[in-house]
Amino acid sequence: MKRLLFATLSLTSLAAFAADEWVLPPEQIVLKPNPGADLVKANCVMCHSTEYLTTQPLLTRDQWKAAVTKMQAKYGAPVTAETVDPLLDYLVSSYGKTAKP
Amino acid sequence: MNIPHSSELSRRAFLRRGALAAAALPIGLRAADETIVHLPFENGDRSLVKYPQKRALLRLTSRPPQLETPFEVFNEGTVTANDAFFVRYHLGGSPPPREVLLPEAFKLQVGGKVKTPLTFTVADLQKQFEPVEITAVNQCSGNSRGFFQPRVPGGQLANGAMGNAKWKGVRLKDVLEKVGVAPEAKQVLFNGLDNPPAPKVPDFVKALEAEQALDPDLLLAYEMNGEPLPWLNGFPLRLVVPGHYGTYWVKHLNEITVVDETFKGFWMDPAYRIPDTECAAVEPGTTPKHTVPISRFNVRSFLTSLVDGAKVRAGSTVTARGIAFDGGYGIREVLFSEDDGQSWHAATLGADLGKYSFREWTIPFAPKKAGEYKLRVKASNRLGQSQPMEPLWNPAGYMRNVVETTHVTVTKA
Repeated sequence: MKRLLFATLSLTSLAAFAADEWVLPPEQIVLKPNPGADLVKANCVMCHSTEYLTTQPLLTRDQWKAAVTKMQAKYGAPVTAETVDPLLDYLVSSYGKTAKP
Repeated sequence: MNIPHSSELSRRAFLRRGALAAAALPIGLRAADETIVHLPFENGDRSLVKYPQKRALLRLTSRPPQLETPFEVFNEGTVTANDAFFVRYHLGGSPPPREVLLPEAFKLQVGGKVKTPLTFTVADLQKQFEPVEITAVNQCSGNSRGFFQPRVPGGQLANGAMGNAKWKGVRLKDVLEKVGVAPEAKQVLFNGLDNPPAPKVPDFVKALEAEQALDPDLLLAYEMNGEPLPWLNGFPLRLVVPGHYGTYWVKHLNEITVVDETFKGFWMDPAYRIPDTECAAVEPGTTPKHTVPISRFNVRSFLTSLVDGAKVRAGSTVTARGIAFDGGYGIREVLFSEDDGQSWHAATLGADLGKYSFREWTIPFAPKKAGEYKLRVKASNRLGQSQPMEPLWNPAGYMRNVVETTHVTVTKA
């Protein structure tokens, strides 16, 4: 049995590296806890991790709107029409800049 | 899915280091996710995280993984180590799992407008075609996007989404000739096993003009620097398009389709397009009228032996060293300036590893007077193309290639 196990492992290592190495480190989920963070969890993170928004520069509301619209139109994000504004409120208050200087 | 509060975050033993110290960070730290590197732009904090077959790299995103090479790696040599090579995926379902990549499962299908559609294992490719090795830079279209002013949305990278490796594989041309490309062929499409996370997300498929696909320098690569491709760099097979941005270097490549039309998939149009203007630039903040698919690298050069904030003693001599590359015509000259570009001196070029490779350059830096120095480096290629002194701008944040500036303090002797 032991020998069989050893043989299996050797075969596996031929295919680049050990089986337990084919595992990614845990996902990092960090969102500013402002009202609306749950909307990001409900509408965005099924497709991508939160760094996609948290690493952006401070974007304007128009830029965030363009991003959300692109996600809806091009990637089929299930953001409903009535969710867009509350989602934008969260993105702008947490990761955006107001239009004012 | 916890949302840590900021107080929880600050309780963690985050090592906050400035951009200056970041470059001096030792690589391969344990407990890497507790080390934060600050890239020198707004919101530039990145965790150093260890991934399979990789040393600790700067994590841009977790799902899918996008990892940037810490810049000090580029001073280790002209060829970038596999374990330090950057990682860029597009789709949340990436990377593909082990079971679809192992030799017993993985197959490349070549079909479409061809005489004889064929399927190959990697071993078939190795048996049936001549092996070829080429040293070539792979660079992400959005490398250095984080430095754009005004800032643009997208992956906020510093200068580490590039690398230079020896790629070994078979010529795409040989494989296409074996299947027999039909006379009506217009483009060739490339698809990999990195699949969309949801049904409406467009699959990552890239197109090359048929004529370009028959360029003998394009490879179906199975080795990188003498090893099988790392999992996160496309194991077991990827397209290598020397001199061209990484978006075309499709990973886990399992499908090649010859078509008789111009492919309109999302990742060719509207994604990965540049203004159809001189130097692919538009007035900052404006939208280009016409766009074309991104293609070849422009000329870039970097100082790697001295980082921003480095100190050098007046009267001493240090070697300024770095790298230069272009879209495959070859680097002809690298100029170095100690005075913010007022005067220039030709650097000595290192070994020529081929026209698609990083080219090393060196020049002695022997400052006599103490003070603040702005070191600048500017390369030109065999076509005479060079780099702009002021950065160019486009809305997607692609193709940055400004003449870089490194601030160095020269202290009294």
